[in-house]
Amino acid sequence: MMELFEYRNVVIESPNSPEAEAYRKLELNIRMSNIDKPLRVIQSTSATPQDGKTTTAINLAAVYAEKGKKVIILDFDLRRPKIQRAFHKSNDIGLYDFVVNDKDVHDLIIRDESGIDLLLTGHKLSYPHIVLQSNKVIEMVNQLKNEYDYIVVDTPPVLSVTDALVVSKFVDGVIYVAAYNQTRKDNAKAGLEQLKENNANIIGAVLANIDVRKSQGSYGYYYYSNYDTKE
Amino acid sequence: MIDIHTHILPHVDDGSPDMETSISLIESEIQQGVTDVFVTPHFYRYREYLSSVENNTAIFEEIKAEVKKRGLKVNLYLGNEIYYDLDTLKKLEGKKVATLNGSKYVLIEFSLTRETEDIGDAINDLTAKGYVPIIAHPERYPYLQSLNDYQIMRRMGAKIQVNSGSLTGYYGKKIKKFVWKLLKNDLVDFVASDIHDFRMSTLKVSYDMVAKLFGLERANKIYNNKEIFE
Repeated sequence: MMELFEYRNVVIESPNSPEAEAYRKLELNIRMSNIDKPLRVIQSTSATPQDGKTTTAINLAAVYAEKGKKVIILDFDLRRPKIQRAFHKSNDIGLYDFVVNDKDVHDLIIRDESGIDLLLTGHKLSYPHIVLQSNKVIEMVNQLKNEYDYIVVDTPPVLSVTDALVVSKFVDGVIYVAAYNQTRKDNAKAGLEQLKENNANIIGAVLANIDVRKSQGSYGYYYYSNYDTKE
Repeated sequence: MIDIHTHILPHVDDGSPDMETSISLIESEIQQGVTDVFVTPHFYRYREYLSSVENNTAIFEEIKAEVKKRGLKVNLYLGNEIYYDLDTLKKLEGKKVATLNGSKYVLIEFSLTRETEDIGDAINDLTAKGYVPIIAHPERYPYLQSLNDYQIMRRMGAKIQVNSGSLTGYYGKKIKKFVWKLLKNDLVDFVASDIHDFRMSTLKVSYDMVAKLFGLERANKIYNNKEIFE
């Protein structure tokens, strides 16, 4: 069975919508959660697939771009990459060429017309979790930190594979996405527990897929809540 | 009729062993009522059909000269049927494999047994570079037997080419039943012969069947789809 994987970037496509506004609120909340030391490398993940982590990643990146910030999305979901679908790019170059062929990462970055830069996965890599915890990759992310205001990292769901936990160790903060009426509560909880056990800095949770009309627009498309990991 | 998928180029794949066979295949196409034939030799690494575009072009020119010499009334165009793998995009960009008559259309096939490539990713990557993938005989792929898959491929910008033989039952009852379901749901863009010297064309028979069931207009839309020249 095929799946369509269409991603809406409402911040770009309908900037005046309440949905877009909710992503701006998300950006504000991330900023406010750490005023003195801004969080600049932000991971988007979820408990299970299709919960909205990629949609959250691309819309958050669009908010940064809209604010004139230099932003890049790293597709670190090496198992089921989808950023190329969201931006309709060919996934023929990417992290694979950096890791396997020692290409300069700058030659692999794609500049989208939205102003958002992208590092796709390229060809499939074996052992993604080993690649993602390699010094080579971590040093590359640190180097990009000098060149970008914000780095948004899309990763696999927490409960599927260990990759999301591996990445959570070198990002500044994690956004945890759950889909309204879809993500099972016990799964959402289990994923969160795993992130906590790995000492991830969970900035907040996003509830995706809320129908604005049905919820009378009171919270917009996304409900955002701070999540205190020290609790 | 326009036939966008044929294996009539001699020596390069399992289509035709020699020029004489190729000419008789072309004559059979004309008898079927075909006016425009796309010659689409396999480019298929695992079966070692790797004839280069240069080689294909040279043989194609020979066949065109022979057709002209014999006064056969048919237009010939060159392309490839490309078995999709991770290098396909690179090969297209480097002109190591051919689109249909140099157009944006590429005839792409996938495994006949199991899903070895993500077809959605393939369509995404090809369309992102401006190509229009035509999926060759997907009704024959056991893993593409749901209408929803075809709606998705279409929505992503791919075109669907089914084999005439699927409509007549050449590939068995199951495929026959499914391909007619695709037709009923208007999920077919092209019907082609996929002619080889071991598989004769059934275009005229299947055309008549489609015309009888859905009318001439529908039949012409998929047997004589001029979109391919755009």
